[in-house]
Amino acid sequence: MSAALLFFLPLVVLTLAICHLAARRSQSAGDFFSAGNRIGPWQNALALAGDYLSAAAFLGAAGLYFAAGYDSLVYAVGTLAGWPLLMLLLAGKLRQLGCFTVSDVLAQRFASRRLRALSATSSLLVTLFYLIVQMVGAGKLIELLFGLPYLAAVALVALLMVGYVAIGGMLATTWVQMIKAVLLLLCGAMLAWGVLAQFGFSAPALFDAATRLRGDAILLPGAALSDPVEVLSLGLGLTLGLLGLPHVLMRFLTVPDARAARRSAAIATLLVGGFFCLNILIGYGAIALLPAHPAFFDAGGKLLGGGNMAALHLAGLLGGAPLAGLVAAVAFATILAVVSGLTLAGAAAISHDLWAGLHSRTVSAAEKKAVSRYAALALGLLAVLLSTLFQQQNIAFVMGLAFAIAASANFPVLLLALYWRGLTEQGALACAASGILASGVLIVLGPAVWVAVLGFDRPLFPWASPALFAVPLAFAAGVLGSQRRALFRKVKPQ
Amino acid sequence: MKTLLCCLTLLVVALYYGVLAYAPGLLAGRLAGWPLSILFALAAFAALFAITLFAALRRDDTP
Repeated sequence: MSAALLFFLPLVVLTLAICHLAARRSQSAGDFFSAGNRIGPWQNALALAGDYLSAAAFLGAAGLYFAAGYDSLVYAVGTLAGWPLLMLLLAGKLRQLGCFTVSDVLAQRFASRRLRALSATSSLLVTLFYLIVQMVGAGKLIELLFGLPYLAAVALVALLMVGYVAIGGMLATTWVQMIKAVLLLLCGAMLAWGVLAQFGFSAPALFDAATRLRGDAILLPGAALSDPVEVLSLGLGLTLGLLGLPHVLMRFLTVPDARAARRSAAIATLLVGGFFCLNILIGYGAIALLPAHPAFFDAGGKLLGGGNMAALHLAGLLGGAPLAGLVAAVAFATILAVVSGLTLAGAAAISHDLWAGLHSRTVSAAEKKAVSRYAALALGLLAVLLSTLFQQQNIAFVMGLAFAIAASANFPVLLLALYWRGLTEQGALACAASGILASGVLIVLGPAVWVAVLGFDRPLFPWASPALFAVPLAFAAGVLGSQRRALFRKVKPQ
Repeated sequence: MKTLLCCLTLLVVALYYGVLAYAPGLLAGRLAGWPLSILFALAAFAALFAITLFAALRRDDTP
């Protein structure tokens, strides 16, 4: 049995056992969707960090350091900056209102089914993009470790994630996230320690070794970030994207009160930031150490398994098969935990917002749970299909796109609904619709889809990240939609 | 206070991405062996940590 399998199988068994245990404790719909509001701040912080530190934050970030050096750190700063804003603006407020999804916030102010449907659709869109990121990471990882074909690998992940969500609900995903967050932080610390040990525990010596191999350019933003508009748009999308991620927002209902919600967001900020610091050492360690070992590269000079596997190869180099096995198993657990959280968020959007919110009759808790389970299955199948389309993209990059959609489609309408009394139903509709449309259309017309997926020579929209245009547009649409009557009254001739 | 802390967070983001977008040349070079670009990102991390800790540790009377 390989070392990877030795760590991999117990982890899967452990998480399934947790699922079974959680299922026995989750009797009501409240238990299933929000873990009965019994999670403590530290536990929720670990679960939040676990939700956030996904395949993109670990495998994708190390891969991006290896491919493009400093660009990976540019992603980290933006995503970390979203955390204090989440704590200050949303965490306590969402818990205080008892809101589970963005649609819940909107439903508290407006009795509009159209608005609820639109908001649920945008949450589903964000969840799906994020799911694709995780599935690509999982598929590549299992393909490399066990030689399974990519499609079979993502199907296996989908099967497990649907099982976790359908059986264990929020309590199971929270427990799995907590374990995974601790394991991931430990793994990151071990890898960073191993890298520093190679350079006499001197970070400058590590950066010197990296620049000797690849030049000073790897310490500066690369060609992909040479356009100022692209940089600003990426920064805005990454910073505000967190505040629109459905699987993160729904975690604040699992704690007893608003104070615990704010505290958990603060602790999670420190955990996530700490991991990003470790990632700097891991990433530059991969640049400095891997090229001297041809065994990690194919005949064409590319990393075996693709760029996203840089952290895994580094673990193999530093600690041999046992450390590589442990890191692979933890990376896999990371993906499983995050896809479970995402699937639960997607299933909640379908059952809680679409099914229950749009029916004129009262939908029972049991029916909501049943719809959630079918929705989880449907989401799993869809994620498998879509992840085959994006399998050649760097997952940190695709995550940037998911953040841009979340920042444009969910965040503006959520912020206006929570903090602006002047928001009307028309304004909220205009805000949500323009956010989804603008981010979706600009991503399709941009280089990520128009060139990389559809194969055209030049993109119709030159920038990969649409946030700089889509976020202000969504806010403007929300304000103008709300002020429409007042504006018309002013220009009407007396 | 909440508004001020939000503005400070956005200021950190604007400063970091602004320098990256319009004056990336400022990030070339080293300070005590450390690349300036890395130190700049770490300084942004430190500022974000400080804002978070300040907000988390101040007296929280709101329910």
